[in-house]
Amino acid sequence: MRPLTDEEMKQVFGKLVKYIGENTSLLINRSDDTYCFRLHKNRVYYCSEKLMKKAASISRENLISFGSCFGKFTSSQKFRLTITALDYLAPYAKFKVWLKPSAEQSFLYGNHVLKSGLGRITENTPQYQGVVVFSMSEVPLGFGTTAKSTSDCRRADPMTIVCFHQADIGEYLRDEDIL
Amino acid sequence: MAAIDCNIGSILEQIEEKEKEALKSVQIEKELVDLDLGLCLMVDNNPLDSNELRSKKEDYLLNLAKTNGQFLMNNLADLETETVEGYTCVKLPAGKTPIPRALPIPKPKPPTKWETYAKEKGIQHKKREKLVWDDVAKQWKPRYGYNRINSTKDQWVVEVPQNKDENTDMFEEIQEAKREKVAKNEFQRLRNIARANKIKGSSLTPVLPKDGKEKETRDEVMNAAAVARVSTASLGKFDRKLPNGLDKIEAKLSSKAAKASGKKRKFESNFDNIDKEKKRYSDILNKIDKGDKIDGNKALSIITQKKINAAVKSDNEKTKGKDRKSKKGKKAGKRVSFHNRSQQKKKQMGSKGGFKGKSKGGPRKGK
Repeated sequence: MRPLTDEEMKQVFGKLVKYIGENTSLLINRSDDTYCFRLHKNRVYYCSEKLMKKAASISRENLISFGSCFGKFTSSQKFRLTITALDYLAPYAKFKVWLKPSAEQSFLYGNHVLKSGLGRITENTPQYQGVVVFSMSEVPLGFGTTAKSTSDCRRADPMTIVCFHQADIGEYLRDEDIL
Repeated sequence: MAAIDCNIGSILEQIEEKEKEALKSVQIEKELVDLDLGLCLMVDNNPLDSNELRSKKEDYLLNLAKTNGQFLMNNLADLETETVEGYTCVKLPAGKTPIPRALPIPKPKPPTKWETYAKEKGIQHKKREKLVWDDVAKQWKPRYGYNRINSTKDQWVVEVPQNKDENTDMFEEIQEAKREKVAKNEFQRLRNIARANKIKGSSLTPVLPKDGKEKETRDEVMNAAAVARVSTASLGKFDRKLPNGLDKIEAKLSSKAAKASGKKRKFESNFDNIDKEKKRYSDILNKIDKGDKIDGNKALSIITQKKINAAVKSDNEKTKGKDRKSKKGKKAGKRVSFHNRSQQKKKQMGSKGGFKGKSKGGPRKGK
């Protein structure tokens, strides 16, 4: 376990900013407790300072996880958000996409969101913007990036992809062993 | 006496019977048996008697093993024997049973550079006899190695060529040439090993650019650049960085240069002052573009609108300027005309911009 270098932090924040914009600073300056980011076995964990100190007393090989995993650095040193970060992305999300109940299952199986499955979308969402995907009953299902801006969505065919899939809560079952 | 005779006869009979019995237990006839005397191996293919196996397993198996062992020994005894140091030995034939290798088959050696070249050109190895007739010494001499033909050791005088200084030690030159040859051969041998093991950028391969015959790989160029970077008096501290567009290459290069300079990577402490860490986080965050992207279309339309406005204004001014021109002197007129030209240019640009704005800004209007 170690703190992230400036380069790594830049990558992590760069990804977070794509989804929650300036709300990222709320993750750093929290009123309830001091929270920090730590790198452990190529994964980035977000946890309170107290928990971090306790976790640090466990040897590297034996420590599996602590706090909540935000994502991992790939072998080419790129940062990738994992579904476990959803709990922190969903409440702060700047741009949201809501799915029709009929399209929920398809998305949870790892497919992109089609125009036909799009229930609602935040006004003025630009193209290729990181969005959090919700069901109509406001349950966060995952996140992705928009393939089309809001205005383009209106005119799109029902079968065109509106939002690219990046992560969904179905991964908790599908990729249980690698999460 | 008769009684004794009788006794002797009966004893002899008894002995004979015993011998017969002993022979009986030794003489065994078996069928369906595979024998490999070379390996002292016997395989009994007869099915086991399941009844006996069930009733008295241990006895049955022991007996079977005993008879089979005897059978094998009988066959071995039939073979040719010889006496070595007082012991009778059996000459075993070659084994028939194929036995799997203990170790995997060795991999073929990777071909050297010469071997690949020879194969490509179809050059085949010609076997030459080792001994050559030496006309001078009037005897056969090895082609190479110790006491070889045309050895430099046999030369007691060497001619100095005309293009060389007459004081050069030709013997030394010959020795030097030999040393160079050996060194070159050793270098090539190491290079072959390196090629076989696909080692790149190690101490075996030169860091400097190659002679142009072989192309450098991307990695090798990178290594050379990294070494060059830290090869200044300040170990590359004040070296210029690559321009902005090459961030990725710069990052790789600097990490390689750091390795080449022998610096170890260092991380922040896990239990550093948390406020300091927080400040570090927010500093980094402030540097990052917050994702409030500039809407290109909107910005363009605003800019073009401004330009159009300016052009319209200048048009108005132009008409005013003309009025002024008629009133004022030549100089002022010139200045005005210049001013007008620039305005015209702006106007053109503005009209162009205006077209762009319309075509791209169109969909935005529909929103």
